[in-house]
This record gives sequence, C-alpha cells and structure tokens, in this order.
Amino acid sequence: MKRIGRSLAGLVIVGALASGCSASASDIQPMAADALSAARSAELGIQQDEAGRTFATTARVVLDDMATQLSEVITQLEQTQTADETAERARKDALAASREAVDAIHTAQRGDTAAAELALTSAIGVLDDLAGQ
Amino acid sequence: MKKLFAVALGILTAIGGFVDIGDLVTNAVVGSRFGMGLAWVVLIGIVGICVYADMSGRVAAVSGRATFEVIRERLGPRAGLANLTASFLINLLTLTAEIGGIALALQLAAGVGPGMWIPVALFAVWIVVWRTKFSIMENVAGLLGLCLIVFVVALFLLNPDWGTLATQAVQPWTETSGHPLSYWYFAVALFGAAMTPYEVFFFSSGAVEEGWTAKDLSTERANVFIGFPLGGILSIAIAACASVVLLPKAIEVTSLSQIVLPVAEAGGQLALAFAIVGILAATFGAALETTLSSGYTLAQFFGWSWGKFRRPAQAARFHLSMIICLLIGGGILATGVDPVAVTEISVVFSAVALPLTYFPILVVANDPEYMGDAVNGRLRNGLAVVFLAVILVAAVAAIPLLIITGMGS
Repeated sequence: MKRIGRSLAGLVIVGALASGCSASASDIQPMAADALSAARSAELGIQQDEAGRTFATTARVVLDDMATQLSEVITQLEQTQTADETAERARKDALAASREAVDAIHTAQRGDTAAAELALTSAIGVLDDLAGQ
Repeated sequence: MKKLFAVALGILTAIGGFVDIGDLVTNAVVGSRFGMGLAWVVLIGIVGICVYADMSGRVAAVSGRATFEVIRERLGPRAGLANLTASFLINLLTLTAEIGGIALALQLAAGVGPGMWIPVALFAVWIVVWRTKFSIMENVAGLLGLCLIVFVVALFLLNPDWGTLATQAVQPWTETSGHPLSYWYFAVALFGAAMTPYEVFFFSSGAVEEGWTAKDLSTERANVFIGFPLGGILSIAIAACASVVLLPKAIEVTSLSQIVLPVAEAGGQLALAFAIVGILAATFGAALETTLSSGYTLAQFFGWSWGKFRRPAQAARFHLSMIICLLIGGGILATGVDPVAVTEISVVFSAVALPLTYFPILVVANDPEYMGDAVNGRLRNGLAVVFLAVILVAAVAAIPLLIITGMGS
C-alpha cells in the first residue's frame, strides 16, 4: 500500500509545486520513514546473509528491492521544494542519508558487507532522527 | 475409513489453500505497521467466509448445481449480470496478483527478476488447468501450501513477548498506531483479503466438479468449519511474525522479499526454503483457483458447458475463456506494474464487490425450491445478515478510505 501511496504522494507533491505550495519539515518525515524502512530491511538482509540464515539469491532480491525503494524516495526528495530553512535542511539530510544507503547496498552487492553495514548504520542513524521528528 | 481420509484430506487442503497472495501481503503489511492490532479483522473475516462458503457449498451439494448458475436462474439475468461483473473483474485482478505472486516467489528462490517468470507462471497454470485432474490439482497445491505452517513455527522460534502480542490484539488502536483512518483503511483491506469472492465460487463449483451430494454435507462442513479457521491461523502467524521482527525496526512491508525476513531470522535457510515453497504453492494454487473461477463464472452465467470433469473439447468456451483471462492477467503484468501493488488494489476492490457477490448466495440458500429441507436455519440467517451488514459497511467505506488516506500511506 505504501508504494502506491508514495506514488500518489509524489503526484500530490508535483501538483503542490505547480500550484506554488512548498513542503514543510513534517512533509519530509514520511519520506525519511520510507527510506529508514528500506535501509533497515537491507541491513537485516545483509546480516542474515552473513550469518548464513538466508540464501544468496533471496538476499540479492532483498537488496535489489530496497535499492529500488530508496531510489524512489530519492526521486521524491529531489523533486520536493521546501518552505523554509528547517525543511530544506531536513530534505538535504534525508537525501544524503538515502544516497548513502543506496551506495551501501551497492557495496554489499559487490561483496564488501562489513563496509556496507558501517555505511548503513550511519545512514540509519540520520534517517531515524528525521523520521522520529 | 475412506470417508475419514477424504475429510482429513479436505481439511488439510482447506488449511493449505486458505492463504493467497492477498492474505500474505496484507497480513504482513498490517503486522509490520499495527502489530496484532488488526487480528480481530482476520477473525471476523474467517467467520464471515465460513458462513458464506458453507452456504455456497451446501447449495452445490443439495441442488447439484454451482451457486452462480442458481443465482442467475433465481434472480434473473440483470441481477446475475451485476453479480458476474463484480465477481469476474475482481477475480481477474486477483488472478493477475496471483500470477505476479508466483513470479515473485520464483524470484526469491532464483534471484532472477519477476518479469522473466511471468510467462513461465502463465504456461504452468494453463498446462495444469488443461491437463491435470481437478482432485489432484486441488490436493497437491493445498498440501504443499501447508509449508506455510513455517510462519507459525517461526513465531515460536522467535520467542516473542506473548503478553505484548496479546496486548496489541486486545487494544487494537493506540495513539502510536498512526492516523485512525489509515487503521480503518487497512481493516477494510484485510477484510477484503479474508473474504475474497473467488473462494466461494471456487468452493461451490469444486463441489460440483467432485460430484458432491447431500451425503457429502458433513465433509463440506468439516472443510469449512475446521479447515478455514486453521488456515486463518496461518494468516495471523504471518502478521505476528512481521509484528515481532519488522515493527520494532520500523520496517513497513512493501515487497514480498520483506515478508520472508522474519522466517529467515527465526529458522535460517531451512525455514526460508519452506516459506518459499509455501508461498509458491499458495500463489500457484490460488492462481489455479482464480483461473478456474473466471471460467466458472462466465460459463455458468452464459450457460456454456463447463467443468474439468469434461474433456476440453466438450467445454471449449470454458477453457478458451480461461486462456483469455490468463493472457489478460499476463498482459497487465507485462506493463511492468508491481504485482504487490496489484495485490493491494485487488483486496480493497474485493471489499467493494463483496455485497454483490454474497447477497445472492444468501437469497439462494433461503429458497426451498432449490434447497429443500437444507435451507438456512435461523442461526445461519442471523449470522449471514450480520455479516452482510458488515460487508455493506466495508464496501461503502472502501473507496472513500482509499482516497482520503492515499491507500493508507
């Protein structure tokens, strides 16, 4: 439901931009929550792969799905026009953390799971703060 | 002994065949978001589907004709057409979702994108529908679907705080659950997933396929009143697993790959293997059922020769309509639409179509001309009317809730 909801939210944002409306910090919060969900799923998938609890194929699907989900959030954040400085800071932080999470997933896909986990932990910390605000 | 075996097999296949892609996705989404806060909806849905599936099976066993055939005859072509339109379109959407579910399950096993698996899934469903005997098809898919019991096992292996789960279940909505309208939107979606229309049509047409008579009513009741509730436990276990592993991490389910994370966490690769086989069997079984239901509803409305007990050449339009439905489902998925998104839409629109599907069954089950002494008693009618009221409320609320909440987001 969230994926379709996000698409609808994206349409609403585009519509809002067209009508001159801008996003506040609270509008950034659900996008950060989506990114957090994807980053934590990827982290869990990597941990399960390292511990031999999942199949390599299944772990790969989890990482692919989460990279896609993060890319959708990044696109939304890139298109969002903010109303004030606080919202702009939140948008930039969420954008940077989401990009860091995608990079971490690509690192994990190349086999460097330790570096990927470190980067994901850092991104999750930022996104957790933004989603909880 | 033979009768006992038939009853046991029927119950097992009813359990294994209860869960489909709609139940899988919606229960996991709800569990990751509200914990056990919507478990009550699953319970209501199970009672509702039992009440109406029993009626539908009884109509078929007593009259020797499938429910849809009797509805058209009893209520006339206009009411029958309304019933057909609602049921058929939802069925087609559900079929599309199930085919997508097969592709996603195969993707979990093979790691290759779902697009490649869609033609494979379509061909596999068609060849089984075309070549395999009804009883074998139903029993194999249902028994393999029992692999989903791994979600119950995983829940115990996760060693959850049962008190917390119970608190979530008895205190359904709290301030932290999010907006109340989103909560009610997911309640309607979950109800739609539990009471998917194709289940009753397949059940009643299946009774005709297997040649049930009034003597088989005890088997029918065992399947419905034991098999379905036990199958519902699988739905609740899926939500509970998501509640234990995903909810604390603020992970909201958007893909099938996230649904199996709790199982892998609890039981490692072995449990995951069972989960993937179970999901594959559940979606494949449901794809067979929805494909057949498409053919059943069309053939029974238009009066075509139908049934797998006939050779394909003797029921050509029935088989052709199923092939066309499969191609339409495959065509929709070929556009690149997310199968999980199709599932989410199908369960909500199922809720919208429910009154048109279930009301005629209630009318027919009360007609002594068809049912003789087996018409609904007071208790059954009372329950059915209560559920019809619930169904009406869910149907009326579904679309406004979908729009207001932006599909619960």
